[in-house]
Amino acid sequence: MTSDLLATRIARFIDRCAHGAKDDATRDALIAELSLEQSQSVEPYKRYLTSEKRRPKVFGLPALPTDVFRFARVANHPLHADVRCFRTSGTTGRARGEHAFSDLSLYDRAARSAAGHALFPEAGRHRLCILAPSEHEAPDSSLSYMLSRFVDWFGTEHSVYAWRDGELRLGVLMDTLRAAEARREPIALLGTSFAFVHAEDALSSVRFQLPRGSRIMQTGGFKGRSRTIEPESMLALLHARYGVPIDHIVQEYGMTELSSQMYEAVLLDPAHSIERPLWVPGWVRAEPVDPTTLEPVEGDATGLLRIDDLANTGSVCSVQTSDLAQRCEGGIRLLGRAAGAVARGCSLQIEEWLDNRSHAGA
Amino acid sequence: MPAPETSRAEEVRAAIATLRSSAANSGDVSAPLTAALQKTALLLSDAREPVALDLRRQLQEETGLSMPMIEWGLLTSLSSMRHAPLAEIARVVPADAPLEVIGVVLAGNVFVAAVRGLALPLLAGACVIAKTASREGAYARAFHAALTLADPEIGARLALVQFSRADTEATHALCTGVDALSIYGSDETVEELRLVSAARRADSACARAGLCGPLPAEGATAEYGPLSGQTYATVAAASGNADSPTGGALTDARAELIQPKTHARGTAPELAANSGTATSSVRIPRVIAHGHGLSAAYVARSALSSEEQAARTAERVALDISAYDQHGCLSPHFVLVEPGGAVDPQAFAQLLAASALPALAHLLPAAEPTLQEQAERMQWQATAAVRGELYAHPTHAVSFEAAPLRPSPGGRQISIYACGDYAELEALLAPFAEHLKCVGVAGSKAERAQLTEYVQRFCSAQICRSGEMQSPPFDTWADGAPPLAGLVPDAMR
Repeated sequence: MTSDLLATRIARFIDRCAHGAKDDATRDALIAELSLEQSQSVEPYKRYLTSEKRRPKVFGLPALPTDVFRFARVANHPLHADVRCFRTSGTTGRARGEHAFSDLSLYDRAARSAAGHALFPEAGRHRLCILAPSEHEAPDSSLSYMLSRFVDWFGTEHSVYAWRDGELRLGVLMDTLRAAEARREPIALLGTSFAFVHAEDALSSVRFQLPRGSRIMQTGGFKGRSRTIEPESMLALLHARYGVPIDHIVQEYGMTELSSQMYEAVLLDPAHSIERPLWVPGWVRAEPVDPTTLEPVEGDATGLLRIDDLANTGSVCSVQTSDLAQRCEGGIRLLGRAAGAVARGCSLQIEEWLDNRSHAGA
Repeated sequence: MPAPETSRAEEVRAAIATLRSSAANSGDVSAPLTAALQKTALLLSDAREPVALDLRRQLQEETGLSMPMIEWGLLTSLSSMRHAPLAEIARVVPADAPLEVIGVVLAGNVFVAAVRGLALPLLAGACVIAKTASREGAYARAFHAALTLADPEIGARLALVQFSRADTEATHALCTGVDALSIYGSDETVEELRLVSAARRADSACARAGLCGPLPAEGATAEYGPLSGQTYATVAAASGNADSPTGGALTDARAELIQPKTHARGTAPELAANSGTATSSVRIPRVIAHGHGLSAAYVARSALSSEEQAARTAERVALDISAYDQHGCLSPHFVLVEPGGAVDPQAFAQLLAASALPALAHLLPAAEPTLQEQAERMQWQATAAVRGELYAHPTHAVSFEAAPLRPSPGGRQISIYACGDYAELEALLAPFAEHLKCVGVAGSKAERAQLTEYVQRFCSAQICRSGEMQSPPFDTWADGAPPLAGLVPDAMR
């Protein structure tokens, strides 16, 4: 397990990074220390490093590719010490990624600090309307856990779940939003992209003009769960449906395999509402890397996103995703899948057998 | 995917109308057809022919495959397109078979698949309108050009179209204007197009219920108007296929009419039988689906009885893996090796990685991987390293792992598993049975026969010799069915 001393230093560092503060040198030193410790204590990581001989100069150690979480327990503590195990969403694949925790305090600290800065920067509480299952309905969903904490940390007593028993509660959604309109009370509508698509279909011609200060947070993909809508179209749909300006519609980037989240920086700076970069919290290092060298790519070249998350003390802090990304002003730009990827036609795509990498959603 | 500004629907309708007119005026073409197809194969095989030369250049641009790989693919796919097997295939077509127009939707994974996709419906006596893959149309175009050179009249029985998947009007025009639809692509593509075809049935049912315009006359497909986007959306929603780009809320009364039937999966006659009242006066296109697929290899211990024999076996397995950079549905995703030979399963994995696959990388060089492919390989290799032993090289990677089987991302990444007996083989392959297209067997003829009998109990995969998975003869069966299955009207031959 991560030493108490290191965990305490990381916790303090996360606190220091509140409100967007950065100290990259300290962050990188802590990442190096944590990674080294995990390379010796987390068996799958240790085994991976035995096979993977490349040692990128910038990072020291290669990051563990996320798919490993599907096939091996990536944890530095025994099973009996688990207090929570989050799982990736199960759609068409057979193996679901698992991320076990023996302690959620760093997760909570990171989630609260990041959301407090990028999603709820104003003081005070908000009425939350959640389009995702509660943590009681989906105890293995990291998203549901996080949203439940948001209710505790940022929500008023009138916050509601408009997604229950696996389906959209249209009446709850409409009543809540109409009430917000009538009271001119800003509201935060938080949910999965897939739930928003359901709401889009169910609401038909109903439109809202949510009060100034309202915001929308959407997260997660669609695969195998709903019809697919391009991000730009989704943004336009949400704006048209709920009357929330696009600089108050925030995409969250989270993964079951991580403990920290990144958010589009639009609430931090409305100028970012065109490029919509992901803001990276100070305790997280997010770098597009060259898959051949595992080193960071030059400038704004496209690479595969590597994330080093200091809050991941119970598994591995260095995680290699398959997401294409570029550096940009304000953070990281996610590019999704490569436009030039080979068309496989009838050949079975491996993704068909693997689940979404993002949060286990509604 | 944004909808195109200009639909190609009119072009599709015009092509179908021309083919129908051409079909109506032609007599028995079976003899010139086989001759023309054989000549087409010879033209495309001969790199001195301008059409063949141009094809090779375009294939390299389109597919990114190396020239030796393209040459090998052309050679193996065209060599069995000869008069005798072609005539034998066509023999099952009844002399009084109605003249049909068959739509073909081609996939873009393995370029050689276009030849069979186009030639088989022609051999069934039909005229063919084919939608080429958006990024791979060269082989279909060259085939058409060569066919026209070989016999202009036969060439006129084929029309090629290309339009975006987002062009729903053109998709509808194709799916509802033909008598049968042969679809190559992902399961998702097959299901989407099946639903568009089924929508025609829905429209006729709607007409009977007074929900839309009058029914067209029998066979009057050219007069058949485009289905509204709204109806297409309800069709997709009713099927539960909410992934459809046009899927949406089930709010239309029409959906009530089609909901029970659009769930149907099965052969064209089954679909026709299920279509109820609408079938009597409207021609319903048969759907011949060639959806997702993957394949496996099996190495019997008899093929590993000595180190020399194991090396030869590894060479054959390596060819199956390397062909088309493992992106075809006949590409093996895993190799099951029977223990007990002179070379054990793990040593066989090492043999593949250290000598057989590198030799193939020299003979049939691999394409440069895209960033996305590199990402997939990185993920796959990391899991392999954690689950078992990984033998990674710049051009390929082999793992030795324990069950359950894990599919490959392609690009010459292969897992080896020990497999004690046929019962274990069935247990290992069962999760993939629905999609299993082929099992390449390294072993004796008797072992292949035995395995064929066994595998047929749980799937319809073809069994072939190791080293021949990617070069099936032109008249091979697919998905447990003979070449013209579904393509000949009134009988699933």
